[in-house]
Amino acid sequence: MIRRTRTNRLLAARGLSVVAFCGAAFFVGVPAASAQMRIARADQGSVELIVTRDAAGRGGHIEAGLRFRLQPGWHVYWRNPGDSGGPPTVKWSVPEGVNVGEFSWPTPERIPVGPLVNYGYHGDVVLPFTIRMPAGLRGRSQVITADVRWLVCKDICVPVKSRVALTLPLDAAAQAETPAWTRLIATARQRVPTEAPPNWRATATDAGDAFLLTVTPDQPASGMVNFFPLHESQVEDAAKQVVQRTGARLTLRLEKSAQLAAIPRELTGVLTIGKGRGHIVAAPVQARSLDKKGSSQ
Amino acid sequence: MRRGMTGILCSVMILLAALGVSAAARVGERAPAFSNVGTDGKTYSLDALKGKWVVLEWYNPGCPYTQKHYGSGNIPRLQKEWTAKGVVWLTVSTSAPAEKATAYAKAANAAATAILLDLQATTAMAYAAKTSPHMFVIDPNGVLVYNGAIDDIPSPDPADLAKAKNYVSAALTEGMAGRPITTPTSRPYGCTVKYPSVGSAE
Repeated sequence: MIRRTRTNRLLAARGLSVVAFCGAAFFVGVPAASAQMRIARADQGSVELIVTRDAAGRGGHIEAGLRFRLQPGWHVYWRNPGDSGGPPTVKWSVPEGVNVGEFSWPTPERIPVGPLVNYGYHGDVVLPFTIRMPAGLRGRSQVITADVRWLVCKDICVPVKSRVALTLPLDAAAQAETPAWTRLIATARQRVPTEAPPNWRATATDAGDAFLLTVTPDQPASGMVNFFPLHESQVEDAAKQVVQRTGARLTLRLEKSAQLAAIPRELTGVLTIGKGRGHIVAAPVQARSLDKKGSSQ
Repeated sequence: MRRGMTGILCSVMILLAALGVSAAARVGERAPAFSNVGTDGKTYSLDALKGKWVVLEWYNPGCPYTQKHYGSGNIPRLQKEWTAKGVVWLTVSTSAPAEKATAYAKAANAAATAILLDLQATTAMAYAAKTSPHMFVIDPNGVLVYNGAIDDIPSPDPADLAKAKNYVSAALTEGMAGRPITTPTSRPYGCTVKYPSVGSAE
């Protein structure tokens, strides 16, 4: 069987902390016989591959997820980890013709660590993705292998390397679990932010030490407002985001990062309002303006 | 609206002051003052170092990223190279006490000018130090000229050092030659700096 190896492209495109921990500083012991294990355990939690169904040999899509189950207090990171840390990365090894899609990232939590803030997840978290199976694959079992590098932190950080694999067709034990996995993947998908509706308006202004991000949702919404920047080193993650409301319009004061290299063309991030689903907003950044006639209320 | 914004700004500044988080460590501005006792018993303050190039390196011997740069000899080599050229290299520990901080550095043949004990994290707060390592370069006038990572490959793997571009060496080389610094900021990578409020395991 010909195997093909590739790195998750979304992660590879991310720039700085992409290769967050390619190291062998800590290596979770993987005995040779466990090369086919679906789940890998470390002291800080486990990582596993889950799927909604078995489509070996039949072609089509399989909804899948990379699931972390973390010990209390430990967290893994969102695609933008915030002040420190790095997101999980995966190197896939799949049979010829099989395609593994990029992760969808559920809206993270703000995790204060002393005076810093990280973005990430505690507890049981699933990063959903899609596997596309070619129609011709049948007969012998197919193995999808993930070499996962994950940084898991509490008051200390541990870089972990784990190898997990999914064998299709699923064995009986795995088949029996697919209804529960289907629910987990669906729940995770519901927590993935969607593009903001086209009638929302989002703009940003360079206001010296801060960006003023103005978003006008289609209707007034109540609840705590949070902005999670998609890109690192634009916004000071730990700074309080001061929100001003004028009708439906929300204005957030986002302190610039001390590591900001240049004013970006766009501020892109996930906006959450109350307990509602996160929306991805992309706000063009306008040059610094001291006088905005007619904008006073 | 303007007055509202001023009010908000003031609240934010008061809040930040209360949290002890400072946005002061910005490139191009005066580097925050500090005064810490070193493991050698001497006191090091930025004021007394006027006229010299100064490097600050946040350090935690229990951290895999610090271990990458010490175990491989990378940071000790940089310390030797730059202190030989008159640079004051200060390694800063917020968590490891004197004995542990010096024992690890000695075993790795480290050659910093001094290891500062910042166990209350006041200097870390002033600089908003995020990771070990997190690197700062200050010019002889006391102006911060670099704030960020040690190099451009954010991993704990020593094998990456051979192909990494070292930002601190680049900043010192350019700065000492009177040239503008090509990369004055970058995202620091490593373990989260230990602040006393979040415990001191390791």
